[in-house]
Amino acid sequence: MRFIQTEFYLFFFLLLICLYIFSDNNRIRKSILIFANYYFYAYWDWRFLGLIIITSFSDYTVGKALSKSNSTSFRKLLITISILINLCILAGFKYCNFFIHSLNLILEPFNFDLSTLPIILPLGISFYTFRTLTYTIDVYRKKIEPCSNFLDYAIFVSFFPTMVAGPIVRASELLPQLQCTTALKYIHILYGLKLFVVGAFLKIFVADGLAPFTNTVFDNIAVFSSLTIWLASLSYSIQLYSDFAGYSMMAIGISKAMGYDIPKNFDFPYLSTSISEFWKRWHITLSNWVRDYIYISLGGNRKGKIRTYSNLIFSMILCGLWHGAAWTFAFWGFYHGVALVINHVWRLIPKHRNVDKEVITPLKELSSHFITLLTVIVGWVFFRADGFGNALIAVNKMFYPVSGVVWYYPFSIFIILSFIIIHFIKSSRVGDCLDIPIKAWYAPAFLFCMIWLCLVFGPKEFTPFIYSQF
Amino acid sequence: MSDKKPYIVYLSNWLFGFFFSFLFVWVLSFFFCDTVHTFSYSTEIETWVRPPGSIHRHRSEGWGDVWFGRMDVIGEADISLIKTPSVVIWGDSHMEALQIEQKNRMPQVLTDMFRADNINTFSAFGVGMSGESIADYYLKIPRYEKVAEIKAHYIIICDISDALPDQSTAAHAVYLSEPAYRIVDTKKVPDHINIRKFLRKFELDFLWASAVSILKDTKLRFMPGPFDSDKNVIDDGYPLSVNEPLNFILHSLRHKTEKPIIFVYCPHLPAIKDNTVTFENKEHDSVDVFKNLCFKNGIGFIDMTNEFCSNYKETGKFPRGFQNSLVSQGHFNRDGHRIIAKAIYKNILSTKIIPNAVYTN
Repeated sequence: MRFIQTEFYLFFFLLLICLYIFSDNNRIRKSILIFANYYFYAYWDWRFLGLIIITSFSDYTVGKALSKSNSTSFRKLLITISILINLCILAGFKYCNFFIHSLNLILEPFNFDLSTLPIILPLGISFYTFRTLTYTIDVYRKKIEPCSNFLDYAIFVSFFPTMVAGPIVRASELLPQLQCTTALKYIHILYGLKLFVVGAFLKIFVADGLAPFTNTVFDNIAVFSSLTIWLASLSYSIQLYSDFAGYSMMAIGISKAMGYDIPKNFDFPYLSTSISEFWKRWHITLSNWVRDYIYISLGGNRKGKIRTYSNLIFSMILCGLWHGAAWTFAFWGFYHGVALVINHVWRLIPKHRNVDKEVITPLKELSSHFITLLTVIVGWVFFRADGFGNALIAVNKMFYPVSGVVWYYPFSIFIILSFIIIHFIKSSRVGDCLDIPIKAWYAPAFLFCMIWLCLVFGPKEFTPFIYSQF
Repeated sequence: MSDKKPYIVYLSNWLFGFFFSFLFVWVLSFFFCDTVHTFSYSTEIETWVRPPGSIHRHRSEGWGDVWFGRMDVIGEADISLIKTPSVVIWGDSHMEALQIEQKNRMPQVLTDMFRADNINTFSAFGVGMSGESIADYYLKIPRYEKVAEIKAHYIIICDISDALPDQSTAAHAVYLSEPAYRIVDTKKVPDHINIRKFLRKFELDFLWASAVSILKDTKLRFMPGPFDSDKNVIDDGYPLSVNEPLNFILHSLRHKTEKPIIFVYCPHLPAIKDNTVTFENKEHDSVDVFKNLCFKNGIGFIDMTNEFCSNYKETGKFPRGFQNSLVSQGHFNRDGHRIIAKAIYKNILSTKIIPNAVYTN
């Protein structure tokens, strides 16, 4: 089920009524919630519910066993089993054909050809696998107590607002909220509604409005002129942000309306002045996950500079591969890893070290913005392009102007200009005005305007959430 | 609520918000929203037409404002008042051409070409409505010939499959194959006529896009998936033999009028596809069949493939598509209309539909 469809609105409305009626009885409330979670998932394909239940049960059991055991070797064995089960499921469904395809490429000279398998990628598998791994790893690290109630754990794994495309909520963030009674509050519903509407606006009006342009250009990159490719690259940067940040906002809004807080996932990433800052603002829950569960597990920055840099690059390659089973994603991760290393090295130079404490000149700040944004936009070309060949053609055309089909999509230009203005306001002294207080007299007018714009000018055909494909 | 404002204040805020936003989108729609088509019944052509004098604003593809005259002719108040003989250009939404301004539509370009060559005794007008097919032209040609002095009929056809029977998209008259080949006037009434009229009257066109068109197409599903979304798709592939059905409709059409009929085949070429600009026509074989059958039935045929492709090679411009829609796809743009008008003009002169005229354009 998608957040933007009539069935979902009816489903969620009914769910809120049920949660309101049983707001005093947490057990019934949770039973309703687990039913809602499983129905939400089964709406896409009921056959894959088994996979979620298996994952939930195995990790719940491992968590229990971890809490009972004091033997280090046994605990290591348990956590290894948990990680293996989760990663094998993820690898089997998501990366199997990628491995086969890569093997075929390597063994092509020997006339070796394995056929790929007709595998359906389970919806949200990358998200719920990472979510459930936070639980077992945190229990293993003794950061959290194991969950004592399977129902709570099953809700945590299948929590429908974050099921399809995150944010990646950690066990430590959601499980405690499930254990206490949460009454529905009018103000929470209003706040949730606001986030949902803004998120839907970003998705429908902005991201889906840009999709026809970016899809056509990136699918036919060899045909278009340099300026068109620049416009498409800028548009894709905004489309991806609006699509994913929009989904995250809707997920946070839905959770908030039900009385649950989940962490924010975006914080104006295109205002970053460095790549490391970008990763603190873009897909925050994933970058924190990669930092805490991969980078730190590999040794982080505790084993010398060379090891730190290799850990960074390796973590980012895995982060790239998490997004999709293709070498372009791995390269995109590597590219960001290298950019992060360069950023670290830059900061090590004595005259740059205390840059945060100095008064930054506007020119310096502007150039930092520009370099970061340029790095990110070029990275998105690899992220979006269909294969290395096309990505290289695009980058080549971007930096060595060539002629081709000229297409200046007016909506794209309008959105880019609007984004520049909004980001300019956000970075100015009056930036807080963008966060409209829900109780303000003008807030309903803003929300209704957004709804109307989506209904009247939004594309009639829904484009799937980009991150739901991961 | 934590503060002590009375609920009536919140309620009034939400009511104000709704009315303000309604006003906001209403104003915006005057510039950026398509108008709703309204219909009135025309006894002259025995079908539903856009009311004479009504104006259509088109923004979702291209940028055009056109007005309808008597008998659904765009930009011509009354074809019975045209003092000179005319050629008619028939077609579906490609001829309707709501996406461009009146001066750039092919009938107007054609008339301008006549005038530029000092041919003041000849005019052109177009008849077209989205979803129409040869079955409609078959019924309409005699009705228009009663009203205006028509010298020739040019029919724009973009897909040969449109000439085949049992089309799933047929909107008005239909060409059926069972129990025998036949053309049926369905006398179908356009949907939601009263709602359309109401919305147009109060300039609430945006409600059509935002509410009516969404609601009428929404089908709810509450059963768990997987949902096979492809099972309702109708296969519009060619039947094994196209000769017989094509021959029937061409033969029928030929016997509806004594005036020359010329098909203008406008392929979806050149087109951006698979990372390249393609000039290859997958309909090539059926186009040949269609062309031969046209000649056999005494109908002319103009193939626009070379004109479209060579224009792209010379200027880099596609005949279809707009900056605000998909480039190289969709309806004809200004260049497309100009190229087609030019080809029709050349044909008019070469076939001596206008005696003694000389081509100079």
